[in-house]
Amino acid sequence: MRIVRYCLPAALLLVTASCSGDTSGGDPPEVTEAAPARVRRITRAEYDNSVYSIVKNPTLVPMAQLFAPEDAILGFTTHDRLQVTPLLADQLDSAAERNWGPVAVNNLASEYACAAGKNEDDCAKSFIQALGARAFRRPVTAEDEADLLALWQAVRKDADPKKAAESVIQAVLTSASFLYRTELGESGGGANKVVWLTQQEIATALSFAVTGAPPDAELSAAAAAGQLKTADAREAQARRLLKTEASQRYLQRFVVEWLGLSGMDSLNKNNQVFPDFSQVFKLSARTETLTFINHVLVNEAGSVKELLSANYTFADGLMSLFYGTSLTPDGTIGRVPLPANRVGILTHASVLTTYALFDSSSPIRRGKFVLTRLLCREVPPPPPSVIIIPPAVNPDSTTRARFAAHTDNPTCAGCHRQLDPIGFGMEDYDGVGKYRTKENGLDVDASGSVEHAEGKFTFTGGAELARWLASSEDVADCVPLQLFRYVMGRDEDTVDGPMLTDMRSRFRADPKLKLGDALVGLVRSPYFVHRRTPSPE
Amino acid sequence: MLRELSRRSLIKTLAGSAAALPLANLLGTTDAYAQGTTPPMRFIAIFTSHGCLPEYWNPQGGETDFNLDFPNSMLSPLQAHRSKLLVLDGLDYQVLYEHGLTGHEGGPLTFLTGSKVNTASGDDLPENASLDQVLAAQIGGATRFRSLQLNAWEQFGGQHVYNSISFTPNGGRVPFERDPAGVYQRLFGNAPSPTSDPGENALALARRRSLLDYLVKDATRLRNRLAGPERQKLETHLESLRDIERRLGSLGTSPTPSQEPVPAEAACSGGTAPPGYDLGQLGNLDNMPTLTKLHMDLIVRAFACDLTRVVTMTIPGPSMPWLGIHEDTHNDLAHRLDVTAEPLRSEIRGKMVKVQRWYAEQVAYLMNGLASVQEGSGTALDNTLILWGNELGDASGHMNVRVPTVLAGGAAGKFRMGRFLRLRPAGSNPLNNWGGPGTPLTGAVAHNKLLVSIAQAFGVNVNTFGHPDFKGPLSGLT
Repeated sequence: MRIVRYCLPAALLLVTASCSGDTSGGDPPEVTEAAPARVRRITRAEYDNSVYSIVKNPTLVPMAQLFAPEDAILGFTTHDRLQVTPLLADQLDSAAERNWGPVAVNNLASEYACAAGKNEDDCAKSFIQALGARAFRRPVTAEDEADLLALWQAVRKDADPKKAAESVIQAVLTSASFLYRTELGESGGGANKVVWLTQQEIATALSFAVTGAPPDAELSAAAAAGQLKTADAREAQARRLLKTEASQRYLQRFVVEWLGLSGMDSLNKNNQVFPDFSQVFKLSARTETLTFINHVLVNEAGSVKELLSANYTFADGLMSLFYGTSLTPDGTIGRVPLPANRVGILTHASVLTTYALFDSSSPIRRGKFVLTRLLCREVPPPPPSVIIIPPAVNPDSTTRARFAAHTDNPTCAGCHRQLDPIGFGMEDYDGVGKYRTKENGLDVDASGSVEHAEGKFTFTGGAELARWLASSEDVADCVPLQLFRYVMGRDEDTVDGPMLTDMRSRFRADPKLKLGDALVGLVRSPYFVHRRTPSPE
Repeated sequence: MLRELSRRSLIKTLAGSAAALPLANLLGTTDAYAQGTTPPMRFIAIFTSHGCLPEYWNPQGGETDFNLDFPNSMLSPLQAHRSKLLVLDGLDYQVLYEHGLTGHEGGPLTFLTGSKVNTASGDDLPENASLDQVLAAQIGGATRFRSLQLNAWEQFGGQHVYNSISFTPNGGRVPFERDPAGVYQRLFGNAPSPTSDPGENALALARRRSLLDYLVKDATRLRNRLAGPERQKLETHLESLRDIERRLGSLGTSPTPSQEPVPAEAACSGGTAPPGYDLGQLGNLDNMPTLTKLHMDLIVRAFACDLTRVVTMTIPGPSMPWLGIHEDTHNDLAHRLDVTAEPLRSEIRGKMVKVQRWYAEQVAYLMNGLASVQEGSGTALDNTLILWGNELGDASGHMNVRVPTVLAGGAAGKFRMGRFLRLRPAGSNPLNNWGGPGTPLTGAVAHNKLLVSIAQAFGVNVNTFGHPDFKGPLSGLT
């Protein structure tokens, strides 16, 4: 199935048309097929991560969170359909004019200062070169320089150099060259050809894939020296960057979006049914999960196995009491053991509350969550001919009994035969994730089953399911795919087969299932560094 | 034939052509026409969710003598505006049945696009731009903002699919604003301070022009290296830059809302900014009624100042604690309307009436606001077409047929308002003989036709909107 065809030894090159390709960009391509060339608008977080280093601010200021939020595709907000709509253009313009411009012009004073006797245009040019290279993630072209110099000169007619510098900074921070990272290869490489990305593009793709931030000085230097053509060099850079805080923040966002926890803040529950639920509970549950994810990324090398199977969590007094576990000495958030009925992040109250209804648990939502997010299975929406009425809450019945109708109805059974048994098996947690053995005075039946590639696993209770998922082959295959979607910003395509295979084999090589290993598999792949150039329309 | 050509239809026929204005004068039109300042026509799309109870939602009575004032009437808050309503019964999201997905995700997606659901991206997206974006391209260019996208309260977070009704030509979601203070700042906040030096203002303007020159050149260079959908991204970017460019130099103004109709020029002066809300407050459901009204006030101000002519607004409502409705409006009310056990049945249906009435009250509030702005011999409401739509028809079954739809406002005379129009025979249900996904939904009235009618009313020369299967305008509107 592998489409990859590595270039043959030099002696054979003459007769290997696929390798001769276009050589204006240097070396012949390593593969004969590649994903289409594209541009990606940076996300709000990527904007924040970029700007502060461009303008040499000592700290990152998360200003872009006030901009128009990204929408989600496949659950991820990092997708490649993001655009600069009129609203965002106004917000970017405003932030550059009111916020970053005035700050940057002070931070960068030494960069545009012009010593007496020096030609001011020369000074302006070197300022433009330095600033532009940081912002554009590539060397500044002659056209860039000429246009920005023209802006400098136009402003300079009626204002001081500081004003001219501020205008240039504003321009750079709102320019397309900054706002889009390119995956195009050398320009002028010909249409509809498989080409190498430029060294700077590789550095950018690699850095954003691992940290969600632009290349640092070391990576940029490697690009400038043309060192990013080998998989080993890319791996070394990725492993170095995985240790940064930026990478941990980036991967924390991945886990939150992968598990669909972005909406935790706007959850609402019926207090009559769930007296435990409150704003404070929501905050505590959210903090618990974020702290735990961060711990796994920082101290457990991003091990998905740990994420899914840890026998501890980070709870404050409220969550400790809710779980029925020991408290930290002072009741503030800290590491506490999980009781036997909970295992890993899937049994966190935040996750179980998210996948539940206003006044009850939801076997369907929980089943769909496990199927789509952890097993990468597609669940089609209900057919349009089916009348969907969630069963009413009934004080004389259990949630399981109410929802069983779905599995019994032949029209629904096709999908719900897969969905419901998973969710039924998590019925030992109520709609806010409280452990229960009784519902409405009746015994809870938390027996369930999940179909997988090799057959069917039967279990009782969410903890047993979580334990099984943590060592499931299907999950180990699914996580790299979800990470691929997050990092590459799109759904997988045929051409991505080899790259996904690389990600999966690296990810699974270590039983800890480390996210960083999957990323290494990604950036090592030749498909990561090649694109097919666009065809003229 | 010639005798039937009324003055109104003659003007309409000629609208947009160079001949329209002089001829309008000859026919003895209003002061505004005579002065050559035809009030602009505006479009507002309002989207609410949960479907309805048709027997309480539809007016009683006939086409022109319809009545909204009866027990459990969901539209009763609009009774005072009935002469400016065109209530449509029997409009179907036919495209969803004949071309793939229906249900929740299909409704908001096709409401303004007329598109089927395309899942090629891995998510549910349409295949073409929404009506507001098409109208914005057609009529928005004369104003500082081609269109505004507002959302009173964001359900689910993360610009969830359920909140998006506005789409770019490549099917991307147009982000919406949910902070009224942010909207105000964008609309009015960039005006030079009254005390600033005019000379310095002129220099600042010149600097901005030089800056934009660079931005356009830079984006154009990148665009020229791209093809297909990638090129489209930069086209959208360039349009956004042109929007900023167009606004340069036009003076900012701040409005004063007024209870009594006041001339647009007067309505567009003074005024205060809405209070600031932080992200937590914007996400607090209790604030939703206030946020809804603040957004609507801003629509009125923006129209009074002619800052934009196209607006979309989503008003969700997962529960409505201010009405004493603490349950999940959608799952616990809308989907349980056909519960048969009493008194539960009456209780659920009574709450659904309250929910829908609340939405109708918001539409009435917006109409009152627009009616307070005098334009020519009428008001801004006379020159506005509001399209109020929904994602579901009969809520209990997720049905996308018989979707409750109201046209409101004067529509600048393009549509005959003050009517209740049954688009297909009462009691007919195209689902009765439907063969399943991909087969024809016989007897349905495609909502694409309504989109065509509205597009045409705004001078867009199209005969289809969205999916090409559905041709022509909706009959009976004009």
